[in-house]
Formats: sequence, C-alpha cells, structure tokens
Amino acid sequence: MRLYNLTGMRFSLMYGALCLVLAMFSCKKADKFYETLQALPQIMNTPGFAYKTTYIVGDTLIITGKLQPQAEDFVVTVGGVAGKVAKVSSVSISGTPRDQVFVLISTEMAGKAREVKITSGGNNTLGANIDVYSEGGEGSFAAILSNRNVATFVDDKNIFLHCVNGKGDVYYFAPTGKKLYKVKKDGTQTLLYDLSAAIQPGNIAIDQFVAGGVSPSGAELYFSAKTIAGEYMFVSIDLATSSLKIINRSAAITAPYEGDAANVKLVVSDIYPGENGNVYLGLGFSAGRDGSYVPGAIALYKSTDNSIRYLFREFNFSKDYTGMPGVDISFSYVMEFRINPSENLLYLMQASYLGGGSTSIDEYDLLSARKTKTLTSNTGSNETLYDIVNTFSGLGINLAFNEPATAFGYLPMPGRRLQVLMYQEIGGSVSIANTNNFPRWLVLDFVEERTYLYAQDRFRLGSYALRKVGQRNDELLNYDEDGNLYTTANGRTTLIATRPL
Amino acid sequence: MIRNNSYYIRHWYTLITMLLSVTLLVSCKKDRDASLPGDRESASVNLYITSDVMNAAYGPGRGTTAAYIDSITNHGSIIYNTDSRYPVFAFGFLANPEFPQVFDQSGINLFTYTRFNAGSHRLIFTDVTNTPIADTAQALEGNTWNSIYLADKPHLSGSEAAYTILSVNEPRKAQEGKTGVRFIHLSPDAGQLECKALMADGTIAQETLATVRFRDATDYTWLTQEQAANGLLRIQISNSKVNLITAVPARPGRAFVVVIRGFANNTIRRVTTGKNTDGSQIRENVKISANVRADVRASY
Repeated sequence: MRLYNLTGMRFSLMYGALCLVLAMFSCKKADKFYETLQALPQIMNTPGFAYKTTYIVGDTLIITGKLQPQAEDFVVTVGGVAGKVAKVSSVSISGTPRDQVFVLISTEMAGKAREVKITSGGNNTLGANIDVYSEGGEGSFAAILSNRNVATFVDDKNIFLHCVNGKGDVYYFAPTGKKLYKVKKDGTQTLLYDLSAAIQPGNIAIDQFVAGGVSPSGAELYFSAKTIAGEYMFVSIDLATSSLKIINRSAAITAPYEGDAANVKLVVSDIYPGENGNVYLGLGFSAGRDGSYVPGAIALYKSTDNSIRYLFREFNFSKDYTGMPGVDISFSYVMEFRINPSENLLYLMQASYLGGGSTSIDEYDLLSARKTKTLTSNTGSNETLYDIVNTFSGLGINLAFNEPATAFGYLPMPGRRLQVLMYQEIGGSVSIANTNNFPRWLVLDFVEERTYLYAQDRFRLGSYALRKVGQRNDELLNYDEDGNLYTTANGRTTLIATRPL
Repeated sequence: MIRNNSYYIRHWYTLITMLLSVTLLVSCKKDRDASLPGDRESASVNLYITSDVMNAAYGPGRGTTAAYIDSITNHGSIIYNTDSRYPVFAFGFLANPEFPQVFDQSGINLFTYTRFNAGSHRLIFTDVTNTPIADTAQALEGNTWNSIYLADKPHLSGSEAAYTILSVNEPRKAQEGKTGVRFIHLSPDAGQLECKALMADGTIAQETLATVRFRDATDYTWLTQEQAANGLLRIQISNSKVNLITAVPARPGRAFVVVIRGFANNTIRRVTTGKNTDGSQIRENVKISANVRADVRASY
C-alpha cells in the first residue's frame, strides 16, 4: 500500500513540476511577445485618424498611432522612398496619448498604390497603400501662362461654331453681314461663305443662324438656320469646293424621326461634328435649370449613309412628341452641357437636386447612351474651396455653371478631360482671387478621376476678363498643337490665346 | 477504508488533470464548420418588374403593386411603398421595380437576394387593387440564386393587360480578366434580336454574341477588354425594326445582365387602375409608347 501511495505521490509531483516548468516558459514567451508587440509601430485606422488614400505631391501625410518616433532608426517610406518628417507631435485620443507624424509627400513618391511602411526600433509595419499624384498631368505646362490677342471682332453678336480639333482654328458666323469666317491661330481671318444672299440650290434666304460646327479635319462645315419662311434648314458646306448641300428642311420636329436625313422632320439646335462623318446634333429647344438653352433631344447624323438616329430624348420635352425614340434623360437640372464628338461623350453640368449650391457633372457615352461617371463638386466656403487639385471624391471646389467669374470653360479635351479656369473672382473680387493665386487652369480628368493643374502659378489675364454676357457667355473654343487655349474674352469682343511666359 | 478513499481521490485528481490537458491540446486543432440554421435548404430570390404597362398605368401617386409567396394576404385595397410587410414595387418617376431594392448612385445596381426555404413555392404578383395578376409555381432548388422577372405578355393592342413570369438561374461566377454578359429578352413585340459587340471605334463586330427571342435568357458570354471605350463594352441589339446600342461597364471579373424590355410598337392595354369608393373597379385604357430599351444589371 505504501509503495503504491508513494508512486502516486511521485507521479503527481512530477506532473506538477512539469506543469510549473511549462508555465514558466509560457510566461517568458508571453512576456517576450508582449515586449515585441509594445515595440511594434501601430497605425490607427479609426475613422477620423486613419490617413487619406490619395495625395498630391506637396501634401502632408499625417499618420496617427503608437509609432515610437523617438527610435533612432525611425523612418516612414512611401513607395520605398523615405519621407521627410516635418513634425512629430502627440495627441490624446480618449485619454490615451498617441503619436502623430507629419510626412511630406515628394515627387519621387508619385504613383498608384504606393506602399506605406514605418520602421521603428528594428520593426516594420505596413500601412494601407496610397495613391500619389503629381500636381500636373498630361499636357501640363512647366511655365506660367499669359495671354496674347489673336483677333478683335466688330461686335459681340458672333455665333462660334463647334470645332475642338487641337489646331487652334476658330470658326464663326457674323450676323451683321451674314457671313462665315475662319480665324487662324496667327489671327488672319478668311471669309468662308457668304450667306446674305438666298442660298443656292433652293433659293432660300436665311433669317436666323442657329448653330454650326466644323469637322476636326476642317473639311466639312455644318450649320442650322431658320429661313425667312419659318422653316429650319440643316446644311453642309464642303469647305474645299465651297459646295453647299441642304441635308434637311423641316418646319418642326415630328414623325418620321429616324432614317434617311432627307425624309425625317427635325429642328437642329446644336451641331458637333466628330470623326468618320459622325455629327452629333442637339434637336429642338428646351430650357435648363436657369433658363439657358438645352436641346430637347440628342441625335446622331451619319454623313456616310445620310441617316439620323436618336440617342437621348429629354423625358419632359418628348411627352409632346408621340413616338419620339431615344433613351429617356432629364435635363431639368442641367445648366450647361458639352459634347466631345470625337470621343462620343456628353457632359451634363447640373445643379444638384440636393440643393445647397452643390453641382455635378455627369459624363455619358453617347453611342450607348450610358452614364460613365459622375463628378460631384462639394461646394463649401473659404478654405474648403481651394482644394482644387485632388481626386474627384476629395475635391473642395466650386464648379459653378454659367458663372464664368467662378468657373469658366469646360472645354472637352482628348482623353475624357475637361479644361476649366477656376476663380477669376472670389467673393466678387479679382484681387482676392489673385491674392489666393487664382485664376488657374485646371483639368478635370475623367479617366483617372482626379484634377490637375494645367500650368504653373496663376493665369495672367491682364486687362482681359472672361465674362457672363446675357445668354451667351464668353466661350473657350479650341486648343492648338502646343496646348495653348483659345477663348473669346471681354464679352465675346476679342479672341485671345494663352502664351507661356 | 479511509486510506483507500484518499488514494483514489488523489489518482482521480491526477487523471482528470491529465485528461483536461489532453483535451485542451486537441481542442485547438479541431475546426468546426460554422453553419446557419437552414443554410443548406434555402434558395435566394430577386424580383424584377419590366412591365411598361404597369409603368404607364400605375404612375406617381397611384400606389404600388406587391408580390406574395405561397398565399395572398388581405389587408385593405391599396398597399403603399412604405409597407414593409411584402415586396412592393413603385412605378413612374420614383420607379422601384426591384426587390430587394438597391440604392446605388452609380446607376448600375448589383442586385441582391432575399432568402426562401428551398422547394416549390407559389409566387403571386398583384396589381394596385391587390388583385392577383400573375400566379405561378416556382421550384426553387437549395443553394441557388434565382432572378424572377415579371414582364408584359405579347397581346393585341387594346386587349386586357397580361403578364408573364420568367425565372432565371444566376450562376454567380466570374472569369478572371473578362466581363460576363447575358441577355434576357422581355420585349413582347420586338421579335428575334441579334446581339453583337461594338469595337472600340464604334464599328460592329462580325461575330454574333447571341440571338434571342421573347422569354429567352442566354448563358453568360465572356468578353475581353480590347473593345472597351469610355470604360464601357458597347453592344448592339438589333433586327429590321429595332436598333439599340447599349453597354456594360468594362469591369473584368464582373458579370452583367442586359434586360431587353419595352414595346417596339405603340400599344394600348386595358388595366384596372384603382377602386371607387363603392368598391367597384376603375378601368382605364392606357397608351404605352414604343420604347425598346435595355436595362443593365450587375449580377456579380
């Protein structure tokens, strides 16, 4: 019995000792791991303290957490590039002190999905990747842009034709003499066509010129006009031979809507010639949010087979036209619109239905009548309005429409971009704008979903201003091979172009 | 005896300690499959209404229609879209033709599902007076995703409104680097349609992606990204009287449903649009304008 008893005792003693040894080791292990954890830099991802996902060169990346910035080897790298630490501070978050490190974003860090790594006390911690963009982008000038006078017009009544071909050409109709002119980028003007006499063939006199456009190659000119008989004509002119062709004559929009362009009944209110004989047309007259002109429908005229096909119909406008084809779209909030015919894009610039001064730009693919992107401008006040170089989601900008003093241009450029001049005036004052380094040319890039600066510093407008003039404001018309921009100024009385200093 | 007792107690203590430590060691290694109650016996269902007759007849302020599973409930004459007891559908300006409803600013909705026990179910759609207008039995297999469409039925102009139900199985699978497209033809009078891809420059591809007739739902076709333009893959859907160009987002690894809907010709249908105070039905002839179009839905 005693032997048994002893064996039992011995066994439990041994087991106890084993447990104790194991426990001791485990404590040591846990202690060591705790120390390692304590030494590991930790990044806070709590909303309000997590760092942003996108930066522009020159921005500051603010990392909050338990970072041990005192460590000798402390370094923050972005995309493998060590960042300059501008400031180290401490903040109290829910009573716990946390480190805050301010890292300057440099040019070398630019790129998408750049790794953010913190090294401290021999330990590394990876944070969420960030996108870093440079301030400039495709076509940006390394210089400051000033201006030059290209041409001066006799009055402010000219109707400019749509032709954004990157050659600096400007075409216009002068109502006083009923003539069509071309202005070359050196300022020389040539008469293209005299519409003052009755048009041949057909012997029809023009009462009112409505709209026009020139194909990107400069070969074909299209225009729409109201005749003295009250009909509307859609006309093309071969600029090489000066031969004129009436594509359509109609008194009003009615069935048949689609098919052979000679047989349909349409009223062309806007014309945007693109590549391969495609011409986008605004049809009918409707009123936008602020009473400015918007079309009632958008159609495609193909000169190759002389056909008309409807793409969009404004859903209120089309109620009066039974059987009008096209995809329903609402222009109720539209204030301005742009068409990039070469890339088959439509931009609707709208007051937000949410009100409060916020605006949005909807980009549509014209061929498939599908929305491709929306840019919402979070209009705020004061400083929040100056964050104009950012991603679409992070912008602080007042993208006003029909208010050239705030935002002017919106010229469609190749690669799904819109060119805009921001803030000629701030709070109605040019000097406040200049003090804040405005106006500046800005590109809205719908591919990368971000904005970038088109030139260094502010645009030197001199004595010129891009103004609001009744229903027809000054217009940004074209750009040239060097990227210089051509715009009417001083209320459509002059044509100026940008010039690098 | 007393001595014996303490001996056993001591041994039991040792044994239990050892047993516990062994259990502890083993327990960590065991993985348990987490499963929700009834997980294996459920089927997922999404409801989508493409009826232009309903759109025209039950415009803004005219109440909503509803769907019932297995049995219809009497709860008054008109349901409003604030009623959360049943799947309800609104028409007109604030159109909500889908259940579960999706709020998505992008305009392309990734549709979601509601869960039912697998098996055979009666599915009943009602009009604004809560009268059944379509009533079918649907066999819902376990672990399947089913998109159920209510569409206008082909009929002569001026006839009574009639509807058809189409249940489409969604595989919910993707192919890496490619965008999936399937076509569902629910236009009552458009006839047979050819679906072709458009190249990036806008020209039409030679190859036909699909040929569809009314109530056809094709399998997914997987498109590469070379033909993408403006972030879209454009598709032409046409025959001698219809020429529609639509597009799906050029997003690799995703899949989209192109629902062809609307009438190719102007038409008239006779519809009950409400009830008078004496309980009699309000009957109306509604005009539906020709408007063949495509809804694009994100399925995966």
